[in-house]
Amino acid sequence: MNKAITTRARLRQFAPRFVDTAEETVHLLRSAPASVLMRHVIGVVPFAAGFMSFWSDMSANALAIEHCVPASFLLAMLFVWMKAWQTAFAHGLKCHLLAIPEAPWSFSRIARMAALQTAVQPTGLLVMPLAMVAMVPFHVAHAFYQNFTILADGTDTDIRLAARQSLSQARMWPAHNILLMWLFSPWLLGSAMLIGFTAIRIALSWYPPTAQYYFMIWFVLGIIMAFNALVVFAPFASAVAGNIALSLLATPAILHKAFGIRTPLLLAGLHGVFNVTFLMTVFWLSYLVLDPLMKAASVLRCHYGQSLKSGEDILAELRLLDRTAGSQEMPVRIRST
Amino acid sequence: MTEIEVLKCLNHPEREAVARCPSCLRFFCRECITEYSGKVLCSSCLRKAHDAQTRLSARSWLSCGTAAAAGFMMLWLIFYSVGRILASIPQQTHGDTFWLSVNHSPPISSEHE
Repeated sequence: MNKAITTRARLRQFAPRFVDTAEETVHLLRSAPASVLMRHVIGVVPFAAGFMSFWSDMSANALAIEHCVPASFLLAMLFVWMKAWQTAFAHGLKCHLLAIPEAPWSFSRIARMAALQTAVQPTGLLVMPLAMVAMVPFHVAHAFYQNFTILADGTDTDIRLAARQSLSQARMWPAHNILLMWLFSPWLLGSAMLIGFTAIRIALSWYPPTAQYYFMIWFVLGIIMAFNALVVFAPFASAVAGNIALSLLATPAILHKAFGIRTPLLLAGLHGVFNVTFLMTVFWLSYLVLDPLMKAASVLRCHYGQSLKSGEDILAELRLLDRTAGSQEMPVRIRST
Repeated sequence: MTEIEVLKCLNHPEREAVARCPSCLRFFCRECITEYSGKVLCSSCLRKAHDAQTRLSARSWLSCGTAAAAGFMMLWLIFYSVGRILASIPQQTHGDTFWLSVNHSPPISSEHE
């Protein structure tokens, strides 16, 4: 009992501040080499394209059900591809943070890493929506899968050890975890978009059909409801998604004004916005912005948590000081616990 | 004088011990001890640790491979189910006719015309 109280008090004593972590997250990404950042894009873009293609095919093609088996198999392969590259990305960030060279990516290590990720990450597709409905353990479930991406990097095949470490890191500093998730999580953006557009749909369904000129009032009401849902669930992610959506909508107008090119999106007007393809494009482009931030924040959280036992943060700081001694290069600022 | 300075290496009695193996708790000189996985170990304990690791990794490879195969099957099933669900939803749900269905509502009443 006393030991548990002492551990909790010690954890509180070394709890990182949310604002500091958010700032360090951005700095870590900005200072990371382009080769590391590209890994995330290489992983996510094929899966995002495959997912959108699968969705469009299954929802619009009457004969799509005939090739649902091979199409879903291909999508599963792309998911594994994405998770493997995300792990490589997180590992690159971690090595950059600790100022150590990356362990070589041998064939056996890649196989181990892919096997570990394939074993655990698919469960997230079931656990995360269930946790989101239950609300309470969602932050732990979310952090667990983020941590597993970072910690199961193929240096070991012990799945239980990686899962145990991920869970113990996920349980650390819950308030800090929730705030970071609220700021960066693409899962919350997806949920907010779903809730927001459902709200618009509900608002429009109440519109009395005989008063056509009231349409705009109901439409604005729906937009306000959607905006509220987006801001409450994911404030920063909403700003990112909003900017991307506006850019997508503005580009056809600019093309028309500047070069006289009339694109289908320009001709469609509002109808071009209210369809699943447009929403998914906005979501996946936002994911490309938000997910690296979420991964970087998780790398920092794992680093803080593990440093409490290993003192790795002090060693990393010494390595950085050694490396930057005599040079004008700005080191990655690491918070020592 | 501390205890470690008077103790001798187990393998080299003429040499002073510089470290103690945390596994077998015996004392060794600098030559007989090495660092492994963040710990200082003697050569015999290192060999035992390495053998245990090899046995463990063969077993963990098997369990990891099985779990990965199960995970992939689960993933395939999830995406297949998503595909089936999408195919069963009416097509207009995915387009603007669902979200902006008011545009397809009955026309304005005759007194407005």
